[in-house]
Amino acid sequence: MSTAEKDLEALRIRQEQMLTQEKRGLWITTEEIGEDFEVSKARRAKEFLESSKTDADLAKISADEDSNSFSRRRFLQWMGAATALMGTAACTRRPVDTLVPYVHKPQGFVYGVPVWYASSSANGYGVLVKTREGRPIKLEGNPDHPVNQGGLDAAIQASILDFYNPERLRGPATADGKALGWKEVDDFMKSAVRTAETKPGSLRVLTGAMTSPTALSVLKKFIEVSKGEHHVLETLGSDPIAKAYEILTGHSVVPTLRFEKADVVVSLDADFLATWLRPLEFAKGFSKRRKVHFGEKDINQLFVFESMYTTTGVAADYRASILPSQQLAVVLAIANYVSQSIGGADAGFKNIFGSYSLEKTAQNTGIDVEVLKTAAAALVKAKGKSLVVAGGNGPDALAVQLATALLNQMLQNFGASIDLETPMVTGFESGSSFDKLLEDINAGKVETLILQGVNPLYTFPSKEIEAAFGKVKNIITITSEMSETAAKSKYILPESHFLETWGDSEIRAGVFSIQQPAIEPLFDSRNFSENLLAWMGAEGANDYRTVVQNYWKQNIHSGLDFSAWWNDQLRKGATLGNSKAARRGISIKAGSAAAYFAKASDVKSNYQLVLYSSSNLGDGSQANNAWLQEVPDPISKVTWGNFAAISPALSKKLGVHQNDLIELKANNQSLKLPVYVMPGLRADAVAVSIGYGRKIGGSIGTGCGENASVFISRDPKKNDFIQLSGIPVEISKAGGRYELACTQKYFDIQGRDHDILQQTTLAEFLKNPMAAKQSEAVHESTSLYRKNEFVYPGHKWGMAIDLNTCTGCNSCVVSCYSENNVSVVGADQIRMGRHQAWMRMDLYHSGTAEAPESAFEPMLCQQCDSAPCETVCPVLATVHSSDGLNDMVYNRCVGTRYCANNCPYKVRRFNYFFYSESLADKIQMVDPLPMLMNPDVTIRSRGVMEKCTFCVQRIRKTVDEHKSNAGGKLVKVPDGEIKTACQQSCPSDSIVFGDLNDPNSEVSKISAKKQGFRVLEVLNTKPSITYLPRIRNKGNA
Amino acid sequence: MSDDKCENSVSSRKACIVLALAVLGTLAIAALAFSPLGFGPAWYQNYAPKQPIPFSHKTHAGQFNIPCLYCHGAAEYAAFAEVPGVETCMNCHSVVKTDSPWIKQVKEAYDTNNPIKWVKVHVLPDFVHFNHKRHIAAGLECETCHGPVKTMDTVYQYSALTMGWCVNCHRDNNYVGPSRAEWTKARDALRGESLKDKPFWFQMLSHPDPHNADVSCSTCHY
Repeated sequence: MSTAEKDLEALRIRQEQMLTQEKRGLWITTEEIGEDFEVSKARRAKEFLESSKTDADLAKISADEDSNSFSRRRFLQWMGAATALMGTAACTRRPVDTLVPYVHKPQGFVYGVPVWYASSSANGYGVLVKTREGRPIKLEGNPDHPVNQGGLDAAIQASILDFYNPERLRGPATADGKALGWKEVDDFMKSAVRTAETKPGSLRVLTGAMTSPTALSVLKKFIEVSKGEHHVLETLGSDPIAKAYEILTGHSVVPTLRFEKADVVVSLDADFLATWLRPLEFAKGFSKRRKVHFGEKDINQLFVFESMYTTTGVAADYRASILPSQQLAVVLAIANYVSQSIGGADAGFKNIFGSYSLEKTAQNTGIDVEVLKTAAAALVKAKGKSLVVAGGNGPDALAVQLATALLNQMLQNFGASIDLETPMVTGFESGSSFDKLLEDINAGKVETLILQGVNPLYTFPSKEIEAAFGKVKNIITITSEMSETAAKSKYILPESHFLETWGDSEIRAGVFSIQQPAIEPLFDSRNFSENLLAWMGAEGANDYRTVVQNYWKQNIHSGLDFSAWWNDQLRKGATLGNSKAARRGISIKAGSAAAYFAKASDVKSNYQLVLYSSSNLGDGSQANNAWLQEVPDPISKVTWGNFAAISPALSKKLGVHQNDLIELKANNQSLKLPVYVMPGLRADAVAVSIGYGRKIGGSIGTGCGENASVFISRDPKKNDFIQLSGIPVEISKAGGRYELACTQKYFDIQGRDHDILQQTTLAEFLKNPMAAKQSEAVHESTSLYRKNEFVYPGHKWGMAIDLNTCTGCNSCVVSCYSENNVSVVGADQIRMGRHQAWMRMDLYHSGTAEAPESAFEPMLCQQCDSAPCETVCPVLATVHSSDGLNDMVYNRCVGTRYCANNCPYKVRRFNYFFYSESLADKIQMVDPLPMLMNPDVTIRSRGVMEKCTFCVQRIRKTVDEHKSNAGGKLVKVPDGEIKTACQQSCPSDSIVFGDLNDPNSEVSKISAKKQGFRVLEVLNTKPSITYLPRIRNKGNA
Repeated sequence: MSDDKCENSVSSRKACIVLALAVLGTLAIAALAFSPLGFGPAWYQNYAPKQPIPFSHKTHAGQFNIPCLYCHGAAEYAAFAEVPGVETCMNCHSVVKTDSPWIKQVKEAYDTNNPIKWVKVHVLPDFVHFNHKRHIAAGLECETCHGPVKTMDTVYQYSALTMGWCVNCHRDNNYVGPSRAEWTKARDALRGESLKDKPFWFQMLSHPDPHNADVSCSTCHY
């Protein structure tokens, strides 16, 4: 046998093993490791996504086609005739195109050159707004902002789509759609304010948490003038945390958490990398301590105890699934262990945790005792350099927060990883609660209610609240789109987007940023403060910029001449200043805390319900955003809807499979939801995401999923806070199916575990950097490709992705949608395997379904040196460029789809329809939506293949710039100057892009690392992307 | 529906004839379209649309010698060569020839902030990204591509603006870079064979060039 024959034989055997092996190292769905293995094997033997239709369905479709007068065959006949006729019709000139220049061109403006503005997002993160010809087209994180430091999350990226949404309200109106003028509204409201002055407390303002100091000062004045009251509604708020600190320190604060200072992090149901408080800030800090491949020595360790599988759970080194009602027991058991080891516990607190021990707790709760013990020991060892966080609003929310704070105090984390002196500005402490508002409404005290940034009739869908709102005479809703609450209002006033209005924010005590408009308001809208100023007849209603300036002049400015200083702040986007929110010299006094500990809640139920906020949609206010609906949920990969996540054990017990409907009953409410079988859940828990099921939420948002908020327990008599998890629930089989639009089963691993994803533990890795590598040597000798087919005399672009820091937050995916005009196709197309994302976030599991170890792997075009797609294209529409890219030439593509067939990474996307002409067929590309498009990237038409190009438009722009300056010579672009869209927005800096021909570039250095691997390297495709293996900080205790 | 049934049915035989005719027709039309006689991209050469205001380049650029970049200044800084707004016109025409009915129209546009909608003469498809700045920086004259604009009363499209026209210019004038030959040699040596005898399109696609405009597809198409 020759070497080549031997290699081929080896490949054949391997292929055989891949399809038949029973035990799987890596898996994507639980059915592959459970009893449904045979089912999955049949699926895996097929290369492409199977239609979910049954044979009977297909037979019916076929019969329909026969009887239908316009069958496929008949269609072809007509097409033929039409094509023949087209010949005569095509002899026309192209349509006349016009050029419309500015009459007065803004100074310094050049057509085609983007102008950037530093601004701040609605929730206070620093953003850079890229504008072309005066219209914002892309949002990027501001690298100079001290909180997000260049990262930006999916929701803020996607808010630019909200801005151009044709369904935005275009002017003031009544609920039944009668258009109004602002004068009419202002006259009415002015008289309402005058009436309120005579009846103190009859005017109320209900808002979400506000971080804008100027808006808060305006609101405060408005409340004074109208003798009203301000209420704050935040579902996913941090109120139990603030309440706990109020008890412990006398100040209602949510401390700033510095994950970068923590060697050991323990999280209890706090999904701090995706949804909990400030994930963007936390991901930045946390990932700084995970950069084992970048030479970081002190690698942190993350322990996660959670009731739902979250992205934080995926990032965990040790993870244990718990029930929401067990949170307190876990904290107290750890506190007991810590107290025994280092002491320093408050006496009152000691009495409470005294009866808990790790072993007993593990025994009572069914939590893996090893994980508990390792976590407690690690915390003790990292005293002063650790962090314990808890979230989830479970049954004992306040007690859990108190215990967590006291545990952190024992561990001496205050002043180190927990910063009480410059706390987060959460904005909810600025007003009284929603419950008080309801009480007053029901007591008949409220006549006028102004709502901004909230949608209570969706957030708390109950008959009582609807009835209460019916009692208020005048409800004025300030909102950008129609909502459930707006529909019940007297007046609906359009709200300006943060891209078109002045404002400011203070996201952390002392960190201020200005929000400057990048465009004139698109519609006849005003922002919240402009409304209030107009209604109290104050100055500045028409000049909000001056109002912001005056506030800054009086409160933030120091030193220099103000206007020079102001312009400097505008340019930089963020500044540090003295803050009213700062709390100097406060400390924890356990004192009265003990009184708040009741015995850990005894949830008497067979099953507990976990409501979690979807990492894409959050609280549902952005439900009408097509990008956020289309981008798959990080863990389940489900799009366009929510589901009931249950464990494989529970699905077996209930006799249901994926997509079968089950009925959940809790708090006298019931919902039917499709099942999603998810690893890492307890067999007595069911998890449902809130944020879906909008009734009046625009064309995109309405009718996607079910509103699980009906289950939120918000009885102030029973709980101090709204309860989101640990709700007793009954589950029953409902019959029927709903097919979730899920992308997780698009492709199969086919047993190629180590070729796809490599992972190991830190202990192994330190012994041998190659520990993660287990795949066979590359079959050089049997390569079908020529050696050195291409040489790269200039640049050779490449990328490195660190799987160890990637949190799977989807920020890169949405950034790619925005930069590259990627189409939204909708749920039906996704079910057929036609997702259009150029970059997808793969999730692979290993281990058992009860205790999975998972890892994210961002997958995009690998820009192979020996590209399988290039060799099969019959029209040379995908060819190699001299700088190492696989060019995709849309105008040459005839749509054979051979390239997508031959791509082992399955990153090519085909336009089966005119996807670019609408958002999922629900919103057509009508004004102002086309203004969203990046003019540097071609809009793809039907019948054309598309894929990631490493943001070639950015490469060409920068290279051209350097060439022009160097008289046409090709010069090396300095390393780091070109950033791809995905790289720029990554909150954990997991993506590095650069020139592989330059040995000193960061990407070259990383790619040269021994532990780096190329996906499916065994195929000899020579990808330009190097992945750095996932290293779990384990086994080195 | 099985294939047998399909072949035996009368309707499908008819369909085959229709399809065959359609294919032949399409091929004939395609051949015509891309021939020099056809209506391919080069069809637009000499296109001289009527403009809303009969602006004469002959007068402005020819007679008065106003530099091209005075009005089309963006060409020096960006991919686009702008069409100036009436603001630029008014720099002179606020005093020059103010009684002309056309200039009155310009003044009205200026006063009412209502831009004039000029008809686009040089249109590249959206999937082509041409960069004026690079060509100006390389020292090219505007006339090289836009022709004798100084003699044009009505501007017309002087060049074909087809891909072949772009690539030929780069090749014939060696704008594809001095090291092309060296690079080809190096590559041939590496592969141990010569591509000299291969057809041009093959050479072009497999010989991307490092200097100046590199003849990769994604130089212009993305």
